[in-house]
Amino acid sequence: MFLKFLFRRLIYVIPMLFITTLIVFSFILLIPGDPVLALLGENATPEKVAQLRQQLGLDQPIIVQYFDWLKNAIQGDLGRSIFTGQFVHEAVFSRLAVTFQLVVVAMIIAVVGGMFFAITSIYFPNSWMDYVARFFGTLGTAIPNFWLAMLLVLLFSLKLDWVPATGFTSIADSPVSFFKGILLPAFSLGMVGIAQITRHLRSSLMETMSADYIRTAYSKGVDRWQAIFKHGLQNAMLPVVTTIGILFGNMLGATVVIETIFAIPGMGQLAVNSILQRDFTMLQGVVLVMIVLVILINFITDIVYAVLDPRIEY
Amino acid sequence: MKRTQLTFITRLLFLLAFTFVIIGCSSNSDEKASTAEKGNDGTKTEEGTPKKGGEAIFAYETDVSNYDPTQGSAGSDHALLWPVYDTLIKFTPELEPEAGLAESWDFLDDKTVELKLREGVTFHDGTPFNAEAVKFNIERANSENSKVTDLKNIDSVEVVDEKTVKLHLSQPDSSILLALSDRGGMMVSPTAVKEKGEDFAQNPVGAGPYKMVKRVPNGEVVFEAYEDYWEEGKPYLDKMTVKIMADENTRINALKSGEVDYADNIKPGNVQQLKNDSNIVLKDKTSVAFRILYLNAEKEPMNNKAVRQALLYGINRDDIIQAINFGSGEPASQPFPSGYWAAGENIKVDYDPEKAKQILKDAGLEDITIKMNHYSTAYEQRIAEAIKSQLAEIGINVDLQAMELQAAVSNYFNEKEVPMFLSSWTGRPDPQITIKNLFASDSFYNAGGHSTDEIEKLISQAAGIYEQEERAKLYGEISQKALLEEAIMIPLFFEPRTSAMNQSIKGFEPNLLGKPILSTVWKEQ
Repeated sequence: MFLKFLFRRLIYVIPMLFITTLIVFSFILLIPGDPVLALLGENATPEKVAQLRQQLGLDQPIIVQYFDWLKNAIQGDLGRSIFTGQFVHEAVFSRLAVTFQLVVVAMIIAVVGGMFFAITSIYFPNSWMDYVARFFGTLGTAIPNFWLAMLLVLLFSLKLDWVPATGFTSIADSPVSFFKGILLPAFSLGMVGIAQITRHLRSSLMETMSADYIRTAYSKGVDRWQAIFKHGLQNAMLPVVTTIGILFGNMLGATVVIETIFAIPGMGQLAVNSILQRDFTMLQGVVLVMIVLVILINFITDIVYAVLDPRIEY
Repeated sequence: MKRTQLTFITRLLFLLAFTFVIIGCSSNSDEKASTAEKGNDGTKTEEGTPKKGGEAIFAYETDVSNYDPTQGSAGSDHALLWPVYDTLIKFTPELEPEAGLAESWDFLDDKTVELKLREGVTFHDGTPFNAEAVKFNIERANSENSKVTDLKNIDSVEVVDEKTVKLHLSQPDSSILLALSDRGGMMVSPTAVKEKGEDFAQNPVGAGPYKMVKRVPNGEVVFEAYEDYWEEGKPYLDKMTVKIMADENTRINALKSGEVDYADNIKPGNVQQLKNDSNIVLKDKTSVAFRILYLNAEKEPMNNKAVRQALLYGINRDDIIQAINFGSGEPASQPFPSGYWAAGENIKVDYDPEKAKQILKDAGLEDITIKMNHYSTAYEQRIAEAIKSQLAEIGINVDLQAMELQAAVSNYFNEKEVPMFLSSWTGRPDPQITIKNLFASDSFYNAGGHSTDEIEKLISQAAGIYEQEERAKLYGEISQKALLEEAIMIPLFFEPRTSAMNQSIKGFEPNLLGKPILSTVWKEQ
């Protein structure tokens, strides 16, 4: 039964992938500013432009270009960068590792922070803790992440000199440097997550805590702490699973800004530079990987939800 | 369930409060040091004897577009190409030619240049550098797939012997020498090119002071000293790492917090805050790069000379420099800054709104509207708005169209959609290249192709003169005609190129070209 459900969801992923990549691919080709002109610079004679366009296959209709690209992509060939000649899959996967580390840490910060605030505010309703939690829940949503990032750098790097202002060390190379370097960018990235998880978890916990079964638990002599942790949280976490799934996609998008500010050589930075240079093949590779990731995460979210919530019919 | 709904205003107040708290935390840091100002005036200080060894980390704005010198076309590439590729000719900080891989040069007649090559030079892969290698490189630079344009006048390369080559020109070309200090003169290893083919750019091999050992595109480039470099005792550093940081604030933060030793291209607005930091040394030099209004004389209303001339007198360059550049920069009336050998004398455009109005009135023009492209960065936006308001005073209405760099460039130069474009001329090592590119009718940069027979004649005349003073005189004449009479384009101002570095970095010398040469740097341990 569960397998069938899994299979059904998978079948649904394929057209999703197809449609999203087609849309994004078309958008990329419609960006004003032609890669051929960017490549040729002052040598852009009409003959040379036509010749290079043909060479890159840009003279074909979009749909033909798309299927050519798709055919190669399915075989694992994402082509070479128009500008540097580097293989796209190499560039993308080397950076994926970087962005992945960043997003995972940001997600941990978001989940831990969000749960902490939500639970304390429920445990101590209307206390100052509750107000702090609510304040954070609003503030995090309102603060633009790039602005927060700049303030954090100002305070923790330039003023206090606790952590570096830029750069990235892989966790495999040096866990200590990794941790120091990732703190600010991950926090800037995770702030919105803290806020959203706080708000969602807080409201769903409130609802849960007023449910009959919790009252029953109280009457059996369970204390407040146990009621929240043992009985409430399990059900209240369900909507948060969805929030986390959505957050992941948002964070992936936000890395574009955060990686630029902190000079982290990840996917976001690669995306920005590819757009600025009009390196279409590289950009298509980056976008493809991002789309696959987001769809994959959504897929996993659905599965997790189904496993956690017995009410969901397979 | 009660939810806290905060109004927009309340959120804004929170934001403001938060900002003040943080600014309060950070403002006292500015007070800690305004004592040590030495070395911050941009003059060259005596830096002592160079020390060998150590490593330095540089923050640079843009990554190389392609590590094959014949395949890129961005002016920002040079700083990262030069460490790997030595050039046949080098230039002094004042842009005069000096010996590079060619020890000496001699003009046998106005169409033949003889180069004597340095002995005992090898490429990083051990391939000897000789006359054959020079022939290979120049022919490669002029081949079908190359993007190098400056060597087109070299008709053939004659190998006289192992250490001598003759360049035969199809027509006299006074820019040929300094063109060999640019992309066209960057020597790549013929062996590596033949072996690597399409992958050469991934594994660049030159004869420069540093070998490239690692590269993360748009991330970092790591160089190691080439132990068999021809110049005794150089390079000084064992290792150079260049980190690509596109954002200027990021570069400054990295420098201040010690993650990098050097940050390139600091804009005037940020120079002040760095001046107050006693650990940081600033070095700047006016460069041959300048802000420019490109005009397309084919398009309405630019096809009327009166409009172009009104623009020339209707812009107050001094005010723009004061307001937007905090006073740093030199107003431009010609394509070369004062103090450069190619600069013509007595060429001066003064701000004269009355004259501009009169020119328009005499031509019977009223209510002119011009559409102008400009880049969408905050700095460019400010310049564009200043120009708009100044031109409004002489009765010209400017429609601003902000665009991202690549889009703006192709929209103006290739698609020729708009009559005016606020951009910059990034400068070239030889003035002839600049003059030809800006004023010749068949040049890519002269989008409307407007010129006069007289100007064209002077340009080709200048190409055949190899004597600096005479050349300068001719360039002055050309500027006079092309700018003051025809107003083919509007020069605005020369900007200083400023680099910031910490106290331990020595030996960096800014040059007039405005492209940093990193390989001369050494570190005070």
